[in-house]
Parts: sequence; structure tokens; C-alpha cells
Amino acid sequence: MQGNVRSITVIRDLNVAVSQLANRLTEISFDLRGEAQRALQWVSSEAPQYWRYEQKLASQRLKETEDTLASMKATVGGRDKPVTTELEQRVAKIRHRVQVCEEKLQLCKRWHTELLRGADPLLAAAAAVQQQAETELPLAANQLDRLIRALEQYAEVAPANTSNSNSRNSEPADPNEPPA
Amino acid sequence: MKPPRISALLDCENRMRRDWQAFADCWQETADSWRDDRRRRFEEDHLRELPAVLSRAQAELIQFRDTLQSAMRALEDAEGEQ
Repeated sequence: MQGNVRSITVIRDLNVAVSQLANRLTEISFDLRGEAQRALQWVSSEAPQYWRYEQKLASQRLKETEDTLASMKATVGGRDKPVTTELEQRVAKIRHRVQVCEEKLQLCKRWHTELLRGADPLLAAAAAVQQQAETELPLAANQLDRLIRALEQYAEVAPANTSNSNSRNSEPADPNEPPA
Repeated sequence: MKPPRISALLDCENRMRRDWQAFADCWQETADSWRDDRRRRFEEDHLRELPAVLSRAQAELIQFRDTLQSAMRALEDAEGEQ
């Protein structure tokens, strides 16, 4: 096998980079899953809960305002017409609010479906990233560990054979060549 | 109602891009010092799939983020408390 490694330091740096990338991709994969779950929780639970509450509130207000309007119409004379007109406008506004709440509740269902559809491939992609981070990259780091050990052993032996020096910092040109 | 954090998804996207770029730079730096069949095999065995895996994750992340943004716009309470 042809071999050519000129610097142990560069391989050590690569080994550190591989391990760092593995750690960071593990974190990113974890965060991605968390954010996807959070979004699904929001659209399936928190948003409908909010709009159900708003709908209930608006419906109560509507009933109260309609009751007030009805009793005023039954009791007041023509001079109080501006008051009833104001109440009628208020009823229309609250009725619109009830309608908006109902539409938003329908939209919650629609967007839940859309986000579920988008979350599936995202979670699959995050799992693939995690698989790389937890399986492939550690294997790569192990291989680099073995290579570094071989280079270090060779660096210890090679100078002793050539100049009787005792340096660990020597960097072999070809670690795949068996030491003499 | 506390909406999801679009910024957290953006952060994941940026971190993924930045971390991969830092690694790719480091890998490129080894090119002059490590040139043999073992390097090529190392790349083939351990790094070949990674760019495609990360690209796919980024694409799905962007798609999901866009969908989530649309959902948040559709479900926001524009009228607020009355």
C-alpha cells in the first residue's frame, strides 16, 4: 500500500475536528427533534386551547351584549337610539370575533396536518444526522486514533535507526512503511 | 399563547452549516500532509455520505421552518384581546 503522511499534527487536528463535529451534530440533531416536537405541541394543543378559550369568551360576551341590547330595545324610547346603535355595532363586532375564533380552530387542524407532514421528513433527516454523529464519525475517530498511534510508534523508532536521536516529534514521510 | 421559536430552527440551520464548514476546512488542510490510499479510503468509508445527509437535513429544516412560519401567521391573534 502506498502511504504518505507528512504531519502527525495534522492528523491529530483532524481527529479533534471529527470528534467535535460528532458532538455538535449530536446536539443539533437533539435540538432539531426538540423544536419539531415543540412546534407540533403548539399547533396540536396550545393554539387550539387558546382559540377555544377566546371563542368561549367571545360567545359569553356576545350573549351578554345581545341580552343587554334586547332589554334596552324593550324598555327605552327613541331618545336612547344612539345607545342601542352603539350596542348593535358592538354585537356585530363580537359576532365577528366568534366567527374568527371558529375559523382559527379549523385552521389549527389544517396546520397540524401540514406540520405533521413536514415534521416526518425532518425527524427522519435528524435521525440520519444522529446516526452519522453516533456511528460513522466515532468509527472515523477510532481509525484516526489507530493511525496516530502507528505514526507515533514509527516516529519513535525511525529516528533511532537513522541518527540515534530520541525525538517524539519526528514526523515520518511514510508511516505505512514498516519500521526497520 | 407562546408560539414556537423560529429563531431556534434558524440557529440549528446556522450551526449545522458553520460546523460542517469548519470541518470541511480542516479536512482540506490535511490534503497536503496526508496523501495516500488510506486517506481516500477514509473519506470513502466515513465521510462520503455526510454532505448529502447534512444537505437533506438543511433542506427539510428550511421547509419545516417555512411551514411553521406560515402556520404562525395563520394562527396569530391579529385582533388581540377585545
